[in-house]
Amino acid sequence: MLDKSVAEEISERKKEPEWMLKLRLNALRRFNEMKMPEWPVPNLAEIRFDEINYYTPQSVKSSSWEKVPEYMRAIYEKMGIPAAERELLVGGSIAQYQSESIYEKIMKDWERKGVIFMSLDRALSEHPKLVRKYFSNAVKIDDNKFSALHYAVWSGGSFLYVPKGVKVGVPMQIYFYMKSKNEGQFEHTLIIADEGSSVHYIEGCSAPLYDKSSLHSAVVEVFAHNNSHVRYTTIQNWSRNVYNMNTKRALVHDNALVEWVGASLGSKVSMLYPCSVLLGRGAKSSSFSITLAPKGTVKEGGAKMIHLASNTKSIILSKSISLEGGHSVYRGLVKIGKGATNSSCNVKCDSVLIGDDAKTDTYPYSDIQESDHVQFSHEAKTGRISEHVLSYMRSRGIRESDAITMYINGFIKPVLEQIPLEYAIELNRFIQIELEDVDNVEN
Amino acid sequence: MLKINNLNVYIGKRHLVKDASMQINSGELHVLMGKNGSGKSTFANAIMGLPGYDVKGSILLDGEDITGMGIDARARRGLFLSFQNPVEIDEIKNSLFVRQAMKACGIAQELSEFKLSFINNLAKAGLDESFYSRSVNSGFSGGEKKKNELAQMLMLNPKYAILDEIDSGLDINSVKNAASIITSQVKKGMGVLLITHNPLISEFLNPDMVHIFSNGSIAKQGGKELIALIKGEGYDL
Repeated sequence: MLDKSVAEEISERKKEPEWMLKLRLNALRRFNEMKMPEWPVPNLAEIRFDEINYYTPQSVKSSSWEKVPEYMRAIYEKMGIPAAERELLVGGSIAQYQSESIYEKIMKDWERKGVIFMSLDRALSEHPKLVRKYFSNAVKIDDNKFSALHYAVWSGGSFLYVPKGVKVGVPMQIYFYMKSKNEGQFEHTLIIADEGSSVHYIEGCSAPLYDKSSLHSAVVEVFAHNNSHVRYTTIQNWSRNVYNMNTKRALVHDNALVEWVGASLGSKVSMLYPCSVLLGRGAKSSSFSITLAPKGTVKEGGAKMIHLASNTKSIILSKSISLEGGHSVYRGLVKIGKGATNSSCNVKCDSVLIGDDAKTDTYPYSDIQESDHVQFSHEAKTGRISEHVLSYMRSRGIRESDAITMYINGFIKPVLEQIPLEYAIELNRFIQIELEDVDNVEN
Repeated sequence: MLKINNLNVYIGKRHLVKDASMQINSGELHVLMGKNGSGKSTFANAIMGLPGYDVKGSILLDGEDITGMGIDARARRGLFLSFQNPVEIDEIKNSLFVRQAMKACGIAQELSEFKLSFINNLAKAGLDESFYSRSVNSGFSGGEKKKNELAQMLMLNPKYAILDEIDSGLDINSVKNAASIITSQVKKGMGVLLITHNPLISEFLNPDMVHIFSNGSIAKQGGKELIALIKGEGYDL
C-alpha cells in the first residue's frame, strides 16, 4: 500500500531532517494528483503501485569488500566493480543493493583533495547544508508523475561533490542491483562539479528476472558550475520485467560541458531522456545513446537540450536497434529560448531494424524562439540491414548471425567510442547475447 | 572442378538461364561473354546462391553438391563472386570485413601479418593504403569497387572465382592490371570464370575456354578464336 506511512517510515529510519519529510509528503500528494504520462507507451497502466515494495533497507554497510557477504559480493564481482578498484581504474565505488548502499569507498587521493563521494542518505547527515542547497533544484518534485513518486520514497543513490579546480582523472562508479520481485528502486543522484573541476561518473544497473514487474525510478541532478566538465555514463541492463523511468537533468553554467552517454539494454519499458539546461553563456552539452529493443520491449530514449543563454552548443546522437518484436522510440526536445543567440544544436538519430516485426518511431520536438545566428539541424535515418548487404557479407564466407553482429557493432561504434574500454567490452558482450538470442529463435 | 549441370534459373515466371552447363577445372580460365541482359549475371549469382532466384539443375564443387547451400557455406568451400555492383557498407571498415571473412573461411592471420598482406594486395589491385581503413566500398568510384573486389579475392584465395564484369569502370591500364592478376592466380591453380561483354580484357588473357551466352543459353563454346569472331561480328553470330 502506498500512503503517507511509507514515506514516514523511510524518513524515520534514516533519521532525516524535518524538511526532507515535508518534501516527501508533498511529493506523495503531487504523485496522487498527477496523471500518467500520455505518451504512447503501452502498459504503463499495468504498474500496480500498491503492490510495490518501496523500501528494502540493508544492514550491511562497509568500505571493505571483505566485510560484504559473499552472495552480495559475487554480484558486484561479476560486474567488475571490485576488480576496477584493485586495478585503480576508478576513484571511488558505491554498490547499492535494493534500497541502500552496502559498500562505499573513495580513494584516499581524491578524498584528500576534498572530493566527496558517498551514498546520498549518508551525505544528508554528514553534509546537510550542501545537500539541502542542491536537492530537487534541477528536477522539481512535480516534473512528472514518476519524479513525484521518486521524491516521496527515494532512498540510496549517491552524492558526488568535486571542489573548485579539482580534475578527477579516473571515473567514479556506482552499481545498482535490484533483487526481488515487485521491488521498487528509487535512488537519487546529486553531482556537483564546482568551478573549473572535472569528473566522470559511471553507473551500471541490473536485476534478475522475475514473473512480477519491478519499478526503477531514479532522479539524477547534475550541477555543472562555470568551466566545469561532467561526463555521466550509464549502462542499464535491467531484466525484462523492469519498468525503468528516470528523470535526469543537468544545469550547465558558463562554459561548462555536460556529456551524457547512455546504453539502455534490458527492461520491459524504458523512458530515458537526459536533459541539459544550458543556463550560462558558452555552455555545452551532448547526449550519445544506444538503445536496444529486444522482443516484447518498448524502449523510449532521447534527450532534451534547452538553450537559455548565448553561444551555447548541443549535440544529440541516438542509435537504436529494434530486434524482432521490439519497439524503439526516439523522443527528443530541443528548445532555443529568446536570447540564446549564436547557439547551435545538431540532432542525429539513426535506427536499424532487424527482423520483420521490429518497430521504431521518432518524435522530435523543437521550440526555436531565437533566430539570431541560431543553427538547428535534425537528421533521422531508419533502415534495415538490407538483403544486399547481408548477401555480400555472406558471399565472403561470413555467417548471417556474424554478419548482423558485425554490422550492429559498426552501427553503434560512434557511441561505444565514448565509453571507457572496459565498460565498452562489457556492453558489447550484452548486445552480443541479445543478438544471439534472436539467432536462436530464428533457427 | 566446379561443375554446373543443366542450370535453369527463374525469377517468378521468367526463365532467365536455360540448361546451362559448364566445367571449370582448377587452373583454368573460362570467359563468359554475351550481350547486356543475356543472363550472364543471373547465372553467376545463382551459382553463388544469392537470394531471389529459383534454381534447377546442380552445382558441384570438387564433387560436393552445393546447389542447396547458403551463400556463406559456398564461400567457405572456396567459391568467390566478384559482384557487378558491390554494395557500400558505411558501418564496417574494409580491413575488419576482410579479416572477419578470412576468419570465417579458416585462414585467419595475425593482425600484423594481415595488415601487411592486405595493404600489399590492395596495392596490387591498384588501391592505396587509405582503402585499408575506409568503410567497405563506401564512396568508392565504380573502378575502385572493382579493384577492391580483386584485393578481396587475393586475400581469400578461393578455389574458384566468378568475376562478374570485373573490367567495367576500369581504365585501360587497370584492365591490363586486372588481367595480369587473373593470369597469375590461374597459374597458381585458381579456377576462374570471367564474365564480360567487352572483348578488350580478353586481349590480355589466354582463356582455356570461351562461352557465348545468348538469351540465357550457351549459344557457342570454343577457344580464344571466338573472341576474335565477336570482335569482328558482334554477338549475333
